[in-house]
Amino acid sequence: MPSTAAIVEQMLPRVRGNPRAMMRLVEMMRASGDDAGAVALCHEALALAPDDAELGAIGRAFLAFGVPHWHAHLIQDTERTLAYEAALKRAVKPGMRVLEIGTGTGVLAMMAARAGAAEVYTCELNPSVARAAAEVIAANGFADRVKVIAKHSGQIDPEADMGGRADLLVSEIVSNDVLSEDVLPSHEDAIPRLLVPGAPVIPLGASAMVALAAHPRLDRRALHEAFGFDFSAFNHLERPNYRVPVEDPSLKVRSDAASLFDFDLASGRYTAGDRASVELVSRGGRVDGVIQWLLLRMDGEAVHEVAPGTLPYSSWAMMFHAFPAPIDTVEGQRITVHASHNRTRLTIWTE
Amino acid sequence: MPTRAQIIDSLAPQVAGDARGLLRLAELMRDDGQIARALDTAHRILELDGAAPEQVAGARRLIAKAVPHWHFNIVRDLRRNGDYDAALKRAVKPGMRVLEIGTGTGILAMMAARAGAAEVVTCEADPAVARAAQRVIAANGYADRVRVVPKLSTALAADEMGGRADLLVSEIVSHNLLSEGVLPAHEHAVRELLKPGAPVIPCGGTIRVALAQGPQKRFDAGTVADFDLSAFNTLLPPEQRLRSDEPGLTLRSDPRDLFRFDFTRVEETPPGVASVDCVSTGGTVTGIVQWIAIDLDPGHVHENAPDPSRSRSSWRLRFHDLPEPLETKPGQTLRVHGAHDRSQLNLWLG
Repeated sequence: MPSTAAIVEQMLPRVRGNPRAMMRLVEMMRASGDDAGAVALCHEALALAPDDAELGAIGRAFLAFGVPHWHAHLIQDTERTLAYEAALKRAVKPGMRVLEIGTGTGVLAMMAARAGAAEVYTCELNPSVARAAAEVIAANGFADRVKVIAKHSGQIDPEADMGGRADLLVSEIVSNDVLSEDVLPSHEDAIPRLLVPGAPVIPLGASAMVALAAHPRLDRRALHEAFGFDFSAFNHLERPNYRVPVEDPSLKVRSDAASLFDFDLASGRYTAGDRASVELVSRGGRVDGVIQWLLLRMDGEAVHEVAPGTLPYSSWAMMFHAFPAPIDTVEGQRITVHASHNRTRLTIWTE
Repeated sequence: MPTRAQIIDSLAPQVAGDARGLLRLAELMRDDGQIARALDTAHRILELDGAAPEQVAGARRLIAKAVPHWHFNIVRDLRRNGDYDAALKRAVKPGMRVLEIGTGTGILAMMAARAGAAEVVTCEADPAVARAAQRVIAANGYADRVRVVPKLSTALAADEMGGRADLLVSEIVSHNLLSEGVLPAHEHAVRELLKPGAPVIPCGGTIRVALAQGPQKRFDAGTVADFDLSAFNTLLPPEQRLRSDEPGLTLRSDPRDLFRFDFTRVEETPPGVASVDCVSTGGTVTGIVQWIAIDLDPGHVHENAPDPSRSRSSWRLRFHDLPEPLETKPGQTLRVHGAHDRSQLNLWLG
């Protein structure tokens, strides 16, 4: 049997010019592993038949498939965008060559160009996103200065892809728990390999912050009795933590904040420990668990922090780690929170 | 260098009773694509006496990551479960052998047993869910009558059930009815696993549509920091998910049936294209809202129609935005088109 890729290769010249046939081949191309080719062919088919509503519906669904929904959240997160723009204005000097990891809509790359960069190289793994970002960049008149590289940063060849090392690195690849978008390995690879020595890095650090908290939504999570059956044996499948929006008024903070880990993103090597314990002092009242959030050190001057109730909206969520059972605390009661990380994941627990 | 599979095989005998080693092993198995073994290993940590909270947290995360969250919402959908319970009470006769496709928490399988089935065989492809359901079933005293088979129903043969079943029950319909594979699963089960003419719950399903004004403007990347991001809009999902009790959704036409499916058919239902005329009641139309109705048995329909006055369904509505809002007059007809490939559904206005 011929492989899917071989069938695609054989079909491709026959479907050219026939938008419906091209669209049928698009799914097969993605299945054969050629995601970038599939995205390009889908765009070609749509361009050939701009008035075909059915084709438009199919093409739109195909292009949106697999595109993370958080791009829409990022666009709405004005505080985040302003924090990055302020840091870029402080750091970018005229004529600089800037590398960005994670293009998304292209907004940070265009900000770097607007701040005076002569050249911006921005890499984006998802081919649909890379293509849309290149269109956004062209529509805003930055195509001459901002180049989208449709690769993972680890695959970039500094000479071939960007004509030499960059003078500044900007990225926004930190997750709610700092680590799970691989910010540590990406920076440890990019800084020595793709930057000139001593180049500034934005953000230069990120911390995982915690505090004791009460959260009433907890009551609704576990399964108990329904229709005369007991479902508690199913509860170990429930996620051990869940997302809470930064503006959620039902979250009650019950202690001062503490940092579990301060990750250094600027040195190219994270050398601090992988285990930490912090003692949190309760202000009294019911404590359901630990709320964890993100703090970004943009540069030596500014931080962007997703702390409970401090922002009207954030594209980052806080993560609630529930205790096995709520604790009714008295003021001054001490609870020790433990954490470990394996460079891509944070684990939090209490004794 | 040893391969990951070799490391797993050499590590496996050394870590019994050691939570830290078991967690490392489970993560290696997961990274190697051995999901069922990884879940088994993670469960061994939970069953250890005195495993450290760190390893318990790691094991729970590994297990929970593999499990869709909607299992928890489905149990709380009282109307859905009540309607299934009533249908099972009507259909199950004492001594029946019942086949269920998609165990989940085990609730429908236990309902079938409680309604009088002598034997319930229930298939669950997700090994973590199958294992948890088995525990739920045992805790409720049904382990002697309800058996969880941890595989896809399409991989099951009648011999493994001790013969063909007298009744099929499933709840594997998705927001668009089709995308959890109800058509191929039922076609296979009716052909290979059921006695001829055996009742099927649900016996059919309908994809319904209506014109509507949505609760919010379609998301538009728009302008951010003085940059025009509208070229990014092509990547936004063509549909929004809304709750059935969404207060800001206003229907602008009567509901119409776009596709009807017979879930008792042996023959393969082909992909299809259909069109319906929706007559506007007047006012702003921003899109098409789509929901499902399932025929539990003839005469008993469960529907997640948009209705803020009813309790929230565990199924979401799908709202397909028009490129631009339309101001319609009462009586104005708009034609809604749909195409399905037995799994995905595309809708458009033409």
